[in-house]
Amino acid sequence: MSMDDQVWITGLGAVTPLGNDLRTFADNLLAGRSGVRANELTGLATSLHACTASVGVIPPPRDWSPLDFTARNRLEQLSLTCTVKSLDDAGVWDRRESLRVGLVLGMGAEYLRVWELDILAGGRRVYEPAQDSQSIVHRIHSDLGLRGPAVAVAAACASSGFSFSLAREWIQSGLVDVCLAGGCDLITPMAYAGFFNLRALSRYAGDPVKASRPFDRDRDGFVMGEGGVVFVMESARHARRRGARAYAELAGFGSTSDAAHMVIPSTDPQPASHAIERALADADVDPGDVDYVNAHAAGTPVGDRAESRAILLALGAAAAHVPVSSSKSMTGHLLSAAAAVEILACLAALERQAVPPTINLDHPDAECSVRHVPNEAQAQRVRVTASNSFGFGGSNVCLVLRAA
Amino acid sequence: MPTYSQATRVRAADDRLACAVAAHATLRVPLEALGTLRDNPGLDSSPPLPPRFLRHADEQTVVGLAAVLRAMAAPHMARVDFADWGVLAAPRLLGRLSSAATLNKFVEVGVPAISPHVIPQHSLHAVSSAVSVALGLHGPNFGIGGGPESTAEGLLAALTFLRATQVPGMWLVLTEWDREPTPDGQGGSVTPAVCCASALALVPDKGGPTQLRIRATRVNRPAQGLVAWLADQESDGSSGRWTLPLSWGGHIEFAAGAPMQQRKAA
Repeated sequence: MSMDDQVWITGLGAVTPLGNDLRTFADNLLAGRSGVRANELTGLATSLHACTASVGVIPPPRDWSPLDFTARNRLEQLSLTCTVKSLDDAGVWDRRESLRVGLVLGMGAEYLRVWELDILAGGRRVYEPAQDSQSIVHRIHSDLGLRGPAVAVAAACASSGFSFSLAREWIQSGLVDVCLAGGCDLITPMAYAGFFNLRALSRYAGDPVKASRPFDRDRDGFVMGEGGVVFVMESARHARRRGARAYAELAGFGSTSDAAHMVIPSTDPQPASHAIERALADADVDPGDVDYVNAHAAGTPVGDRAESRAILLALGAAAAHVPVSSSKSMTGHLLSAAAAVEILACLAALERQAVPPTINLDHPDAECSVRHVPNEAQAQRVRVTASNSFGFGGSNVCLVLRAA
Repeated sequence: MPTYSQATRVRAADDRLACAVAAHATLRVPLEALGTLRDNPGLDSSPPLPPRFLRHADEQTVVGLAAVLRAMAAPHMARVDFADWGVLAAPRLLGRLSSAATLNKFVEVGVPAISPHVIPQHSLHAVSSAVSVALGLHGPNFGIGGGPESTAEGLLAALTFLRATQVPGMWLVLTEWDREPTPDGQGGSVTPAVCCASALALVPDKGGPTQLRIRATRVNRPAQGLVAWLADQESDGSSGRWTLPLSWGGHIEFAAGAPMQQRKAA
């Protein structure tokens, strides 16, 4: 592939538990600060106390009508803010109607969330199908006057990982000039209850910032997070022609399925390992070229072990030298948006030439024997990163970024 | 490895996003008949499924998996190894009936009322994941769309993704209610409801005449959706053409030709 055909990330819009711009996010991430707090989930007959990484009130996009913004549900607010900020950051906001701009958002349970938010606000939308006349991606597409295709993708906690693959393909096949890719998700009381009853969430009762403990022998589940990140992607040729700044190249994508269980990760590391291997092959890099792996590692006892085996298998001898960490120890698990926020973590590593830590990693699980970065960031050369995302239903995704 | 005739295809305007449809099957099942299908979604010739696999599945998952099993049963698909196939599913408004019931209980009872199956079985990925797990498909699986435009989103994403990955084939599963049901709050519907699904076996394009594609010209909106149109085509065995305008320009065209015939591999 020629350099002109590379696909670059040239803009980003973020609302995350660690900050709403790359600088703040990177400062917090590399300082090992947690976004997890004790929160109350309201809207029920009784409040629900939970450890979560929330984003609070979602800021409206610049110059957006406050009345229009507050009339939208919270998931739509999040998606709109991230999308507008991303176009603005890339310098294409004012030109968006003259370009073919595509939109692909990872959104794993849009209608479950929207029906729930509506019921909790006193509505009856789930009983009135006529109200579901337009999905969030199509409404944003229409409101912003975009002229490319728009889709939502879902693979549970790997959802937004697929958005990057579709966006890259649309760009390389000439369907669009520029494509927005990323994902957004929310903490809602019912989603919290669903994961709680699945016994997937941490029940840690102490200091909330200690609750998310990926790879630690005392981990007991994940901590829910919320937020969104949307990126602008375009070909290197297009970016150079308009003088755009490049955050990184999206160099590789790999995906497989466990085909084992609707919830539990496979005990066979081969399918997840193949996803990593395919992403590296797609990026034309060897395992030894990888400077950092951002692990999916949500903090579940089964999942972290399964991923560790997959990383060791995929990287082979290089695994002894490649640092691996989980930013979910600080951001919580952003579900549909997890892959997107972890691409943001990889951009932070590339920009700052430092590898973020896994905080609360005091006693590494002997069965998670990757090369950890416990509790403190590590300064080092970072040119190539890999980011894993694994979801319910056995979806495995790996994305490789390379410094542009 | 089997090859397929090129009678039915999906193709992009610039001919780079093309693929053949090796087989397809469509199913329309009234809500009251779903229990039987849930217990036994396959045919006699279908591969065995894990016991009670669909016990907690959404209605659209049940019909979607059953449609895939029927498409797999086509004689010319008998020798296909599906192990590395992917599956992409585009359900429309998945989970309305179960969500209404769940939300009722949640508001009244709180956290203990929520089944642990709500998230894995009624989120947008549920149909694709169920097909992947049930049939042992190790290629990528993901859901697409979820809203009223799911069919167009599914066709576009399938075309795109098949080109972007190295899978030998991909199931595209389109599911919907023929008319969106009105929940009774207990998991049922107060209006008549028929759950529908089409399963399309997509394989990389091998060239040749095009009968299903994305084209640059404008067309009018079709009188019926693709799933309903395919059901008619399959019932009378006719060939024909279905088109859907895309909001961003051009249209998707599905032109069903003569029944697909398997040829011997070279």
